Amino acid sequence: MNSLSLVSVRNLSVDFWRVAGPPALSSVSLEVSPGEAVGLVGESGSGKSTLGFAIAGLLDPNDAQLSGEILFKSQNLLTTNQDDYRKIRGSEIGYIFQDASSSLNPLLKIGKQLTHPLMANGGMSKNDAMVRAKELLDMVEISQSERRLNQYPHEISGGMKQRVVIAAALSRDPSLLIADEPTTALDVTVQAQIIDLLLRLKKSLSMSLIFISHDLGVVARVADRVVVMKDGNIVESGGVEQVLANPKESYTQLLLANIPKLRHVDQSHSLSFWGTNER
Amino acid sequence: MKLVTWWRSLNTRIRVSIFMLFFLALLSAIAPFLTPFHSDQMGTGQTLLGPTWKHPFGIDSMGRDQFSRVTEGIRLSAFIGFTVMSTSLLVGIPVGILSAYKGGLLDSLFSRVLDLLFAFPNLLLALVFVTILGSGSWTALLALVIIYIPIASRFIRSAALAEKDRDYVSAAKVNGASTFRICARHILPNIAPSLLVLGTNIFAFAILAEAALSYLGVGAKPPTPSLGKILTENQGFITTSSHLVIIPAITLSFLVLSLNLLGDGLRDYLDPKKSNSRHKKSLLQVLSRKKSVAGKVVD
Amino acid sequence: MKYYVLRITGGLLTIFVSSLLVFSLIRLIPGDPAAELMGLAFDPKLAHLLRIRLGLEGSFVQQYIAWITAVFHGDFGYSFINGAPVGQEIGDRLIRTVQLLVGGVIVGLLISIPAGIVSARNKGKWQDGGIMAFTTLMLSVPQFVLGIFLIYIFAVRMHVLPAGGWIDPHDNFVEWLKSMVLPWLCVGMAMSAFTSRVLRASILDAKNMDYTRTARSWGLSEKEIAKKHVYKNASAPTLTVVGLEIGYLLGGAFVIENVFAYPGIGQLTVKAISQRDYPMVQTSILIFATGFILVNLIVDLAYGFIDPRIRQR
Repeated sequence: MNSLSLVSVRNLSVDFWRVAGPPALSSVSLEVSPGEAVGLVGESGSGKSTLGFAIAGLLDPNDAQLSGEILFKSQNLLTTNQDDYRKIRGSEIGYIFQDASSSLNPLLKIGKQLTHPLMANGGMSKNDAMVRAKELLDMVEISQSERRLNQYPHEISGGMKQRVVIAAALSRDPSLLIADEPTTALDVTVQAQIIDLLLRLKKSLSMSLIFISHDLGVVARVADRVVVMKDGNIVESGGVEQVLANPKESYTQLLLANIPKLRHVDQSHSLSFWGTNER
Repeated sequence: MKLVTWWRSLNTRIRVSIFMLFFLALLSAIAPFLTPFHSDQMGTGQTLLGPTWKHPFGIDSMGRDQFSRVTEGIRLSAFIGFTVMSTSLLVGIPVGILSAYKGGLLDSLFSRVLDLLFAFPNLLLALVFVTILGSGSWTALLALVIIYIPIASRFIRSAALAEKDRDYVSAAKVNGASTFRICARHILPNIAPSLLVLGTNIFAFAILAEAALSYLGVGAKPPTPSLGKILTENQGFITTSSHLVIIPAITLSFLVLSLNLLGDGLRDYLDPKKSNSRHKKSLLQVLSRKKSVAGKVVD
Repeated sequence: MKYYVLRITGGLLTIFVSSLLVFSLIRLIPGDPAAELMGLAFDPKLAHLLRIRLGLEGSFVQQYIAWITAVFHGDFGYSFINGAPVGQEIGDRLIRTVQLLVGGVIVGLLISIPAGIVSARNKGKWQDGGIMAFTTLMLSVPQFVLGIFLIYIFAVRMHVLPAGGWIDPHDNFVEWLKSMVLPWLCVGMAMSAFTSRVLRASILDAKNMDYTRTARSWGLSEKEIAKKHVYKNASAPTLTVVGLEIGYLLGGAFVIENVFAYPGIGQLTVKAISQRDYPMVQTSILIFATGFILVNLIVDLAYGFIDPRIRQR
C-alpha cells in the first residue's frame, strides 16, 4: 500500500459474462512504482493479459464485470467516467500489443495513424503532428522516417511495425507503458532488438513498465520485479533475482524448469539473444 | 426419445422452417382430395370470384379454381427446386472436388470457363439459354440446371480446396488411398455440412428463378400453373380481384422464406466454430457417415 | 498503377469474349432465320439477299468481324420484326433503364447504409432485431413479388402512386417522379436487404479488429475510431457486395420493368426473345453483359482505391 505507487491495483476481480467457470482474475493486487519495471509472468490463460487490459481500461464493460480498485496516480480508474478514463489512457498509459502485424490499420498510412491521436487528443495542428510523428519514428530508431510516414503497414517489416506501435504508444509521453508479449510474434533476432529498444526508452523517458510475457528468460532481462500468475491469481512475487534464484512456488519452479530446455533446443537463436545483453 | 433431444438441439430458425415446409407440403399433398376441381379445368361456373368455402382462393378470369392451381404451383416449384438442386449437386460434387484435388491444367481450365459464365447475370444467362432452346417448362428447367451446375461446382471446389491440404488427407495419401477413395471417403464427408446449406440455397434460388422466367412468359406455358405464371395471368386484375394476385405472391414468398430460414439455420447449426450445442455432433456424424467430424478423423 | 492497368485490360478482354459468346450463341439456334421470316413466301434468291442484310452470309469469322465493326460504328443491325434500326430502338430505352437502376441503387444505399449502421450500433437490441428480421423477409420475397406488393399497397389500396407506366419528364416532371417512386423503391428495397446485412457484419468485424483496440489504447473516442477506422474498413467488403447486387439488379431489370410496365431495355429484350428477334436480343444481351462487366470493373477499381494492399499487389 505504497502511497508513492504510480499504479496500485487492489483486490481486482474480472469476470467475463460469456465465459463460464471461474473469473479471469480473482482479487488480484499489484503495485508499480514510478520508473519501475514489473514483469507479469504466466502461461496463457493465467490472466496476465486481462490484468494489463484492465489497467488500460480496454475491457468492454459489456463483456466483463470488474470489481476492486485500480488507482492511477491516486485516482480510482474504475469509478472514473469513461471519457476521463479515455483521456488518461491517451496521455498517461501506452500499450504495446502482441501482434504488431494486426495492431495497425492496414488501410491507413503510418503517418496518418500516428498523427490522428496527436491531433484529436493532443490538440496539435496537422503540421506539428507530422513533425512530432517523424521525431517519434526517429526515437524508435526507424530509418528513413520521413518516407515511412507515407507508407502503409504492409510495406514495412514486422519488427518495424512493432517499432511504429511503440512510437504510437509513446506519442504523448506516458508515465506507464504496458507491453503485452511485445516480441512473441517476431523473429528471435528482432526480439532482442525490440527488447533493447524498450529498455533504453524506459530509461530515457523515465517511465514505469509492465512487461507481460510467458517467457521468464525475457522477463529476467527486463524487469526489476516479477509477478507470477496462475489461473487468475498471483502465486508469487518479488525481486527478479530472488524469485528466479529461489522460487518458492512449485508453479514458478515449473516455469523456470522449462527455460533451459527451450534454450537448449533453440541454441543458435538464444545465443544471439543473450549476447546482446551488454549493449 | 432420441428424436426429442435432437429436436431440442435445433435452433429456432430450423424449427420454424420445418413447420413452414411441413405445412406447405401437407397442403399441396392433400389439396387434390380437398377440392374436386382440377387446376386447368375451366368453366367452374363463374369467373373472377372471391374466396368462398367451395373455392377458398377464389376463381380466376378463366373460371379455374385458384386453390388447386396454387397448390399445384407449390408442387411444381418443389419439383423444379429439387431437380435443379439434385442435378447440380450430382454433377457439381465430382467436378468440384476433382478440380480442387487434382489442380493443374484441369483446374485452371475449369476456373477460366466458370469466370466467363460468371461474367453474365444469372437471369440474363437463363434468358439466353431460353432464347436458344425455345421457351417452355422443360427448357426453363434445363436452363436452370445449366446455370446452377457451374455455381454448385465452383462452391464445392472452394470448399474442397480448403480441405485438400488438411492432415487427414495427407495421412490418407501416405496410406496409399486412391484418388477416388480420398475424394469420396475423406474430402466429401468433411464438406457435407456446407453442401447441405448449398443445396437448400440452390433449392430456393431455383424456385425464384423459375418463377421469374415464368412470370416473364419464357418459362411455363399455359395452362401449367407455375406460381410465376399465375402471377402474370392475374396481375391485370389486381385492382378488382386482388386476392388472385396476393395469395400466390404470398405463397411464393412463404415457400422461399421457409427455405431461406432453413438454410440460415443450418449454416449456424453446422458451423463448427460456433459450438454451442453438444447435440450438434449427432447430425454431423449422420451427415458425414460417421467417418469424420469437423475436420478430424474419428475412425 | 499496374493493378489498374491489369484490371482495365481484363475488363475489356472479358467484354470482347462475351461479345464473341453472345454472337456464337445466337448462331447456335437451329433453323434459318431468313426462311423463318419469309414463311410461306420463301424464295431462295430473296432469302439470300435477306441473309446478307441480316449479316448471316459468309464464314463465322467474317460475320463476326462485320458485326463488331458495325457495332463500333454504332450500327447494331435491323430488327427482324419491323426492320427498324436496333440502335435507335434501344437508345432511349437504355437511358430509361439506367435511370431506373441508378435511382434504385441510390434508394438502396439510402436505406441500407443507415440500416446497417443502426443495427450494428444497437447490436442485440430491438432496433437490430427488427432490421434483421425485415432483411430476412426481404431476402425471401422475389423482386417481382415485391413489386406486386408495392403496387397493391400504394396503387390499389392507397391510390397515391401510379401502378406502372412511364411519363416523359419533359412533359410533366412531377408525374414522372411519381411514376418512378415504386420502381425505385422496388429496386432499392431488393438491394438493401443483403447490403445492410453485410454492412452490419463488416462494422461489427472492424470494431473487433486488433487495430481498433490499438486505436482505443491511444485514447481515441469511439466516435473518432468509427470515423477514421471502422467505417473506412467496413466499406471495402460492403463495396464488393454492392457491386454484386448491382449485377443482380441488371438481371432483375428484366423482371422489374415488366412488373411496372416500364419501357426500358429489359422489357424490350423479353419481348424480342419471345418474338425471336435475334439482332435485338444479341444487342441487348451485349449491352447487359457490358454493363455488368463495367460495374464489376468499377467496383474493382474502387476497391483498389480503398485498400492499398490490393492496388500494390
